[in-house]
Amino acid sequence: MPTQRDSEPSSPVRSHVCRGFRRPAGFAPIDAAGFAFIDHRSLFDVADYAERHETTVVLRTRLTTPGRLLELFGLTGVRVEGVS
Amino acid sequence: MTADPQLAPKGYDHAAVHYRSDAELLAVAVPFLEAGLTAGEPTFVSLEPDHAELVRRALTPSAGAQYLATDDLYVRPAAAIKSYREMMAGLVAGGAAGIRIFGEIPRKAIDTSWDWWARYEATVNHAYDEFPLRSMCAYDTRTTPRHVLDDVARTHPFVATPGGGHHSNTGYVDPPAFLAGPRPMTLHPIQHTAPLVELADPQPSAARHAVLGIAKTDLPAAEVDDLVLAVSEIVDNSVRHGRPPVTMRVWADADHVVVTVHDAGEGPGDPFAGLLPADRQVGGRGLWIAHQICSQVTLHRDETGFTARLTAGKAWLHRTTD
Repeated sequence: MPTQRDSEPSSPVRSHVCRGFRRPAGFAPIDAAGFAFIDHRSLFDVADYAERHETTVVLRTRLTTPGRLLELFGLTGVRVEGVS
Repeated sequence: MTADPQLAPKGYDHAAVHYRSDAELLAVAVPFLEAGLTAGEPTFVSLEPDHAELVRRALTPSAGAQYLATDDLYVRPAAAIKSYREMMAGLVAGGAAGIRIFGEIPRKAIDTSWDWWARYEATVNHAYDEFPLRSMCAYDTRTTPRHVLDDVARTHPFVATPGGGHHSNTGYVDPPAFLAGPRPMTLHPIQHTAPLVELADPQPSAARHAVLGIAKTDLPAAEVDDLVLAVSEIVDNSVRHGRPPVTMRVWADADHVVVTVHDAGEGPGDPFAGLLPADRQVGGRGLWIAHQICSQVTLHRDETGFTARLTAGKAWLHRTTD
């Protein structure tokens, strides 16, 4: 899937988190609908961001695996929102 | 805990039970469970349905033992450890001073994927040791293969016998030593064919695309997604922590996808890697993820290096006749 991006170390998700992003009150959305893959390291970065900023990150993705990983590791502060 | 000089004073008391008849099974299970119930300990039966029913009929109806469904619990050993640890942490937090479990690994799991269940039996000695747990693992010596009984003898520090007997097992091997030893890796039948894909020193993205490109399987998309995640994590481990060359091979048919990732290194230094919850700060999470989501994970070390084999799809029967 050449038009889609992967989220690995130094990936768009990580970059997004490292740069910081403006968050609406109460939650911070990440549009990851175009990503073909999100690895566990990126999710930990997102969870760390959520913890540091005492917010909930909403990860908009069409992937099923981020939800599995969040549940497996008991990561809080991140919520997956499915997109088609 | 009750004062019983034959039992371990604290921590996890993990005993094997060998039986040859229903009567022998009950002769060990019933006194063990009744003692737990009498002491007011949370007491669990985790047996296959026919054996659970046998025990249920033998116990006092109002006894209060709790029955756990083995079909749910024993799908994957890493998931079983996670579930049991969460359950026991909750019980201890609620004030339990002792916990009892009488269980068995389902026959199907023994016949299809004993390798990781052998590692489970060794690992739980460490994984459950923080809990005031006494458990007994029942094995039918009429039907359990010899090599499985050999592993049982090396992974249980105690042996329980009918009538309340409870003895130290002289054949017990310290879990790290057991886990560091060579483990067999019986080839999956489709591994006798040429692999559909063979990649040299792949990056994780190439590994993922290779699995996604397999058109030969009818597996549900979610199962393929899980395998893609696991393969990505394992290839990433090999690239980061292994020793080149890294070779990835993929086989598939309508019902299975099998992926091996081999590198020339020695494999993870942590003997419990894969089965225990991985430390967020230290790493080693990839193997644990694979153990949580694949149908089967086999680890193998030999003179050429370390191989992780990941399987998606139905488990296959490879029972030996010994």
